[in-house]
Amino acid sequence: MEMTQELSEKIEAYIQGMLSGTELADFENMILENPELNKRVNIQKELWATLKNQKSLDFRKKLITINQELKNEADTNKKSTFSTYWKIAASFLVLIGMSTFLWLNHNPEEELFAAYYAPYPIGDIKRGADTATDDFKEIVLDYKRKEYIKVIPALERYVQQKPDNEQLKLCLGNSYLNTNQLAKAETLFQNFSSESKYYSDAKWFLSLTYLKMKEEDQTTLLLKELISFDNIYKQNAAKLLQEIEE
Amino acid sequence: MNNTQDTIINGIISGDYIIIKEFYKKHFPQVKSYILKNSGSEADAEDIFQDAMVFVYEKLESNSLKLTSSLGTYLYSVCRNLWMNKLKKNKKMVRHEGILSVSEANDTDILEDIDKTERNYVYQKYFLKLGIGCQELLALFFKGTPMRDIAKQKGYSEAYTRKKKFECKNKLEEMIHQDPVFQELKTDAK
Repeated sequence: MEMTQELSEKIEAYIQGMLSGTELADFENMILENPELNKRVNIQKELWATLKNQKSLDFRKKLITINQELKNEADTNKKSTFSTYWKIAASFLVLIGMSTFLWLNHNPEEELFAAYYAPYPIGDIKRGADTATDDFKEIVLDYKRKEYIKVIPALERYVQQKPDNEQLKLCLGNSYLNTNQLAKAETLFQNFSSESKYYSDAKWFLSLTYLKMKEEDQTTLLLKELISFDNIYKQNAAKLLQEIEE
Repeated sequence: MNNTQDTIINGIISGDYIIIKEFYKKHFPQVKSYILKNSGSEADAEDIFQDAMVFVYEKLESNSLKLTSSLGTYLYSVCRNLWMNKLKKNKKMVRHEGILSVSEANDTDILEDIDKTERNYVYQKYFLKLGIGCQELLALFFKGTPMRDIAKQKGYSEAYTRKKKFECKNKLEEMIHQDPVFQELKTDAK
């Protein structure tokens, strides 16, 4: 039985006791004659009774968050145990050949990235009805804690729902950038129009994405563009370009 | 009832995040170990434990829980019964390896209540899997907010709000129908 909007609203009216007279009698007959409809009505009644209990839903939401947090904490502990063993092993390696090790691991792009990168401030996002929810507050906290892996699915969902919110896109792009999903970050930052209020932000983070990708020509080109007009990144862009060219 | 137990109960009722997290951290490992030893997965353990916690919360909140043991022991009884019910529906054997320290006295009451609530837990679980927009809209609707007020609050037209509500509810029902647990529970539905 196909559920249409009309039928769904009729079921709702029936459950709410808003049908009367012949309309009610006809609908009750329909239910008696159609077991599938009867099941649908019962499910809707149960759904209604369950989901109006917001307190219980909020409690379950809390449990899901706690469960995720405990899993993350367990993962961090495992990594830290692993890292303790690794550190012991690494100190032997350092003793064997520190200079060789450092030379092999020298990565100027990563060093420059670390020196110039600062995450896009999520706190700057203008408050609206869609960003005043508890879920969004949680996203803000996770982003500030640099829990980028955790925050990406939620931000992706928000960006899909609010495609015009460019600050959310910047935060998502930053999260990709910090989790080495560089192709995704590149696509996202590339799609900012030159008319956008956040054009220079997107260009700056795109230049840092290319820096991480070791695409020197692209990085240089973008930095030169940022130097060519007034924006908050102009000074840093000039310094970074100078360091790259040196 | 001792002071610690009072604090935990009050913390659960008032939604105190730290107390609930501590309680979760303390009791989940034993439940997980029991379920893993009895044909379950980690995801099963999480589902069962969360369902049991919601069960306990609703009982505490409505002041209908008469504890004859510690809250932890009662929770284990709920978990064990929920899991046994699920296994029975899957026609799997319960081996009871890694017995949970439960009080048998709890079981009769719990079993009666569990049958009434299992379907509700499926509804809650899938509701929370919907996008934020759908969750907010449906929460307002189920709370009894008139459609014109929801439309105004969301900045939509009333017609669009009704359409959106229908789509969200339909999506929720589709997810629920696809859930294997719901399929099993359906056969028992009156």
